[in-house]
Amino acid sequence: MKVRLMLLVLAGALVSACNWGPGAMDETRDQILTVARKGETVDFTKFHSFAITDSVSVVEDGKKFRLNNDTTDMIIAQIVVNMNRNGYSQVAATENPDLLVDVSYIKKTNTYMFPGYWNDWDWWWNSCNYPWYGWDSFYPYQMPVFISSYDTGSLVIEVADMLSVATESSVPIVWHGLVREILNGKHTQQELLLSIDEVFRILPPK
Amino acid sequence: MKRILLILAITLCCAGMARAQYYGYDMRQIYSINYQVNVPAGSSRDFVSKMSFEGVNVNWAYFVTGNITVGLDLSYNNYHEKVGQKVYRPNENTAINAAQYRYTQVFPIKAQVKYFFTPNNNVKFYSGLGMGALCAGQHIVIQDFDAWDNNWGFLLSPEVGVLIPFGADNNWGANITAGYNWSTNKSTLGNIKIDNRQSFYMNVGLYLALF
Repeated sequence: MKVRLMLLVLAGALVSACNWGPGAMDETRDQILTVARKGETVDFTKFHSFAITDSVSVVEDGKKFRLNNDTTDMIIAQIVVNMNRNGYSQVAATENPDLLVDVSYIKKTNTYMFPGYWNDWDWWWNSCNYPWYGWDSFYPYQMPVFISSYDTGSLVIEVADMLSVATESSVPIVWHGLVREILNGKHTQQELLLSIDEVFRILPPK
Repeated sequence: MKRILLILAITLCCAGMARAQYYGYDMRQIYSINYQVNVPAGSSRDFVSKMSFEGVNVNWAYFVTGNITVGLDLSYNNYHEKVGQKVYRPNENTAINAAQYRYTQVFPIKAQVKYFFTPNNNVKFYSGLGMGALCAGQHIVIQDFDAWDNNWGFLLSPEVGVLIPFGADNNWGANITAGYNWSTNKSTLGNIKIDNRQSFYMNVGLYLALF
């Protein structure tokens, strides 16, 4: 009887030993990934004011549209708090801001997206009545592999250098923040707000 | 790999030459299968510091004299550890805050010589020395990203153990072994420098002796 019991215990131990991978990753705050990137040669001391969108650019299955609801208002308000913390004053888009902030939400995508696909600066362009003159944004740094394709529920915050608009047709994104998969329905509102604070804290745009 | 094949060939030749004889209280061969736990040591602790409770070991020993066996020993261990959220700075202008799940799957393969101190007693104490190779597959998982590195190293492994039969005339019983693995594996995955892998291990399992 004792021998049988020992055999059973050994068999159980051997089976439990055959665990070949990490298994299910738990959906806790530990699973939130934030990435911040800023221009290497950008002099942030020349920026003093910023304007921010009042809606969020949503990417869903290859389509883009702008969304404005309570959640997007909350996200935008938290970004404003963090920009203020970093010493920037909010102004209207029509008041020649030094920086322009756009927010994107990758709701669902099954295809590869090149960096910048998610952003949409037309909101600013339309509000300033400049339909005859367009500009593109670009990244003055190599986008890390981490964020070359974004998954469901990622939030992207981008800050463009508006002082360059007068001299260049391409405007650099001088700061880029990502909270990956925060809006996938598995995280709380508190985690969302803390993650926005965190992406500004790990590498502030200044 | 060539070194492993050479050791394997020498082991099998020795076993073949000794086939006509009866040694070790008439025992010819001993097979064992064991559950294995490992405590990491050395620089490999910097990657995963937690003990591994996920290990399995199989061993074959062939008597070539009254006290000495040659054989093979294969193991598998899985070390894993969750590293809480931490800010990583790949360069001055990038910051990544993430939790990591790190794990290492280790396969030690060795040819082994054992010396039995009391081959004619019921309870048989032995010590052994193994040489071979160790393959380690290291992984850093962040969300669904998996960065990995497979590395091989030369393995040296001393051990001591005891065979305890279930009854005086039984040819099978419990095997208990304690040993130490040292190998030359190197890795810099995740900027964590590993110069060698070390671990203390313990096997608990069953053996079967063939006469």
